[in-house]
Amino acid sequence: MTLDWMDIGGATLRLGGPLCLAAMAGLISERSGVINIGLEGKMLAAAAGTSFVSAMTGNPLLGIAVGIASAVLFALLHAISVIVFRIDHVVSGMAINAVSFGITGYLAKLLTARGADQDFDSIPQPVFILFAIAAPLLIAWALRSTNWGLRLTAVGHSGAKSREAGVDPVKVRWNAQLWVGVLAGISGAMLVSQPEQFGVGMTAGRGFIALAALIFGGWRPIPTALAAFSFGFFDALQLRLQGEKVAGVEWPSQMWAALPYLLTLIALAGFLMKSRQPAALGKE
Amino acid sequence: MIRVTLAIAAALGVLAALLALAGVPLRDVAVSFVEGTTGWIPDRGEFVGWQPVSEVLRRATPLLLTGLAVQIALQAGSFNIGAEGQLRVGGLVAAWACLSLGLTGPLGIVVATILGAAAGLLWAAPAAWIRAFRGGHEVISTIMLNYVAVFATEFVVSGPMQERPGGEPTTAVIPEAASLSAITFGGGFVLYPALLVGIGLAILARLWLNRTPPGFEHRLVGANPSAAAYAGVKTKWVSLRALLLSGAVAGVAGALHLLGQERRYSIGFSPGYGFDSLGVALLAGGHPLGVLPAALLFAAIEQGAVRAQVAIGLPKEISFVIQGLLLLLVAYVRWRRRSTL
Amino acid sequence: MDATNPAPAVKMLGISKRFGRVRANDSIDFTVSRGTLHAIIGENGSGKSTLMRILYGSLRPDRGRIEIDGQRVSFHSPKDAIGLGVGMASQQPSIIPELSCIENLLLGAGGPFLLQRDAAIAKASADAKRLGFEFEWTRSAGESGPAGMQKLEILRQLWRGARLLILDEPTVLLSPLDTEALFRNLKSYVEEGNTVILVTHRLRDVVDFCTHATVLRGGKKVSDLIVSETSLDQMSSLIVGETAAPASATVGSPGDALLSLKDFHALQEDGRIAATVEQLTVRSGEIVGIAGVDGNGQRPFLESLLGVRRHKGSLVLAGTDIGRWSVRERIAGGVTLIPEVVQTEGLVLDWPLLDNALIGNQWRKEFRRSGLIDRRSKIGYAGRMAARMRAKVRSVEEPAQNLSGGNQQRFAVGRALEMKPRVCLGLQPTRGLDVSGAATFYEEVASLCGEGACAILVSNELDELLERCHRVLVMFAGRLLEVPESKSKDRHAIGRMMVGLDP
Repeated sequence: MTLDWMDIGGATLRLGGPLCLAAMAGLISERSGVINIGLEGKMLAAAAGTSFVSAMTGNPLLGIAVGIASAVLFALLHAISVIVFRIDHVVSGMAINAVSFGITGYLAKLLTARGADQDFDSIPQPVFILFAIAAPLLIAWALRSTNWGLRLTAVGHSGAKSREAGVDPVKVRWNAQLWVGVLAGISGAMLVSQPEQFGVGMTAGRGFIALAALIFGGWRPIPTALAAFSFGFFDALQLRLQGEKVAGVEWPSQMWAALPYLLTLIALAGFLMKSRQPAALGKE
Repeated sequence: MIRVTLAIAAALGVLAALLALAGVPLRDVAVSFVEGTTGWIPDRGEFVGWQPVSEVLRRATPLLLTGLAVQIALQAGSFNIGAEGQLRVGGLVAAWACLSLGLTGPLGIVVATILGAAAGLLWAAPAAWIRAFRGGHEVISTIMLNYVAVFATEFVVSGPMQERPGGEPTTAVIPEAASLSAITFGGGFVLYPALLVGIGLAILARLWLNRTPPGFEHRLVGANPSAAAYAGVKTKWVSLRALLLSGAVAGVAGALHLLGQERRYSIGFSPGYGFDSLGVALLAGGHPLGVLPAALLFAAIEQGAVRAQVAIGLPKEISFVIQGLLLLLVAYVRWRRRSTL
Repeated sequence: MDATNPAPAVKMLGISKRFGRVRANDSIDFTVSRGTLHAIIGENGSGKSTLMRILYGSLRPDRGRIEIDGQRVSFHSPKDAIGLGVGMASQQPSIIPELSCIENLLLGAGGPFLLQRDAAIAKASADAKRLGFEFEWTRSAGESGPAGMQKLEILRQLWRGARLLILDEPTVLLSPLDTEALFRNLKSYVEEGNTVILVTHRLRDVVDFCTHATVLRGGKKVSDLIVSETSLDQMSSLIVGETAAPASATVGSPGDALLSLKDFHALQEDGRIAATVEQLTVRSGEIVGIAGVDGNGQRPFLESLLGVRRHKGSLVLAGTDIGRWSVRERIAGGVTLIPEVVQTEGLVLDWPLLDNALIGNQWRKEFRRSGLIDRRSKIGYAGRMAARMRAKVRSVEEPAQNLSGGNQQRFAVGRALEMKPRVCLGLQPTRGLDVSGAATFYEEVASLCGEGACAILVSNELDELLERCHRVLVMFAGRLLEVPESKSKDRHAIGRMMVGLDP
């Protein structure tokens, strides 16, 4: 069996990029103590916004802007739900996924029904890839070296104690959700930049894989990014290994697809590393 | 009760506002929802038959059982987002029991259901163990297990248990004698026996939770784990048991869905019952019997949306929007954290 | 804050604050002059901490005004107070154990976008030296232990340039040596024109180090004192409201050995030893009090007796080794524990009282009829529980959260007593109870013991223990210490043992 490793490398970056960006969104949210099950919904909203507006106006940059704005909108909905109304974080995230799936699906079907042209010309992929590589490096630096990062981490461990120390945890969490929206938005825009057309439910669980990468990476940016890209690599490999034999056996493609989830389960069981889960995650 | 009703009304109100903004004729939407779920045509004042009601009951059946499963875990303080995966393996194992073991008749149905329950229980076991003894959050692990279940069952029905090699990824249809057929009454009213099983299980769950010592311990762990520990409850074992029980009930849901409705396991076995079940469980609140009206409401929304798509071309995806809004608003009235901030 | 400003450093007028039905502060007037070390003293629950949290902006008063250096202020959060040079080191340090020591100092201190770690460490080392402390700045704060975090909390205020320093029970976790050094350094700190408010119930510290003191009782101000003109006795009688009765009020005399421990070690999760008891025999009818500063192993000790925590060594109840019994078996065998914070450890606040009655009793057969839990027996039991401690309950159907904090405590304590235990364990069982509630509790315990039970009670109220218990032991640094016979009623000797000095 021969594999074109250059080709797989490229595919890894293309498939891992959205995962990495979404995982970074999840990281900022969870480091501030807010569980984020709703990454999937935010990515989907951004992909739809990017695709529809790009196709309508012929301007991919405007499309991306609208896509990011849609993700930010859902991120702010999450912030209102969990910070202002104190709804359970998990429930709010699931609700956001449902609403986003519904609205984007609704709009896509309406556009199809009206015969609108939904293809568009995206900005080049490498721009997104560069962004996906730069984001974890920047975030790692910001968490270690800036006041913003310190406040985020502190609030994630204990909002109540941070308040006593003179930090407003509510403000920090709102700010974090804003960044969650932006990063998940870019992730969604990147996802739709390859097929250059939106498909109903096209995230297909990538928001959850991103969450898996986050846990696998122990809530730290660089390991999380590496996990996201390795999951991208499995995905790339899986597409190219269909029907091929590895070590004399033809492995089912589903096994490769399930691998990230299985690995994350093992990580969750604590066999891989010490968990650095933020202490106040989902509790305040 | 009043607050939940208000939340439901508010969710519908928000949706109506959104639809009105999008220029959709609200009256037509309302009419097709009423037609599609009750069989009564408001414009003509005419009743077209029991078929729509039966259809709502059919859709409600797996929702009732998975909703009950999620609620059992919730009562002990765990989120079982994994009902989808547990339902799928429960269904597949029931199919295997009928096809490979040749089970038929009432006894066969019972055995297949028990095997389905065992499969659901086993599928929940890693999450239960991680939650109880390794400190990993059950939400994440159950989501992961859902995906593993989707891929694993897909593998089985496109390989080892595939009906025809090279054909569709599905098992063969189970024999008539092995299935739990629906009962048709006069006027086209169809009753799914699985629905009765679901109601029976809900009553049992209520009795167990409220009137027996282990059930009391189950609720106590959900309400206050420290108080439970001081009261002599083995809290880790109780949360382990809670997720296992929840998985078993979701497995029953899968087995009965297979035996009573699908009769074969294919990739499209579940259109996301396991995900809807969280909404059903939350809407039901603390009462196991509350899952019945909650499941009926969710089923009616889906059924109404399908009808509206056919009748006036409204994409049926709006049912997800309603369910999402419902989840948020119901969570607001009854599922909030007592925050320290 | 300007050192030449003639206005007092702090002036609080008519401060009132209610929590539910409890008046934590009731129109309190409170003034502190600049350059003084001013103590606020009072019993637990007298309103000291509430008043100080209002001054620090972490609570908002219902009524009243606050002036700092003659300027009227209104604080929305601690951030506003910090901006005016107010710093507070609270009893539960707000140090985040997962962050490093220096990060804890930097947190919330403002500063530029980029963290200036090195500069911060240089300044912090200098400040630490001033207080006589030492830290490893880049290690996580949690590694320095509770005392280290307490010191870091105090240091943080100084590091931030606080000129009005509020210290809430700062010495509870500190060693005598650290305490001595801290106060010596605080003296020079106030001489520079700064102000310190010390919240404490250790009168020794007040007499030794403070110039002024304000006494609070039941949420009201009782008196402003000049320390040099007041005797210890006067102070303590102002705190309790009457001269404390030294008389012992124990009932009956103990009988045969009921509970005996030998080479007993309560263990942490990770297997380390949390508390050690070399030898202890509690006799039937005996009430044993355990005195000690919080956090010296009292809680792990009682928890291991109930079995929620593992132990090594021998634990014998009425001739049977119960060391391997589960919590459930021990409860059935007559061991019961009154938790330290009943609201979070003993009750489910949104459950009706009759379900709360069942907590800990869930396996008792008397609650079941034909195999199922029976509502009527729950109602009867909940009523008896409430009556035993005279908890004010309108209906056993109402949720526990409708009760006031004190009544919740009465209800939970009543449940433990109604279980008719053979061994009644209590962690601060009278905390949150008023004087009559505490009296009722001890009478009930005495009557249980009169029927052959025994009790081990942990409390911060040494006088209460001396008055009500047959004997008082001291827990210090994880060891249970016997008080020499000759000093068994000497509160000063016991007080010295509590801080690790010889009696």
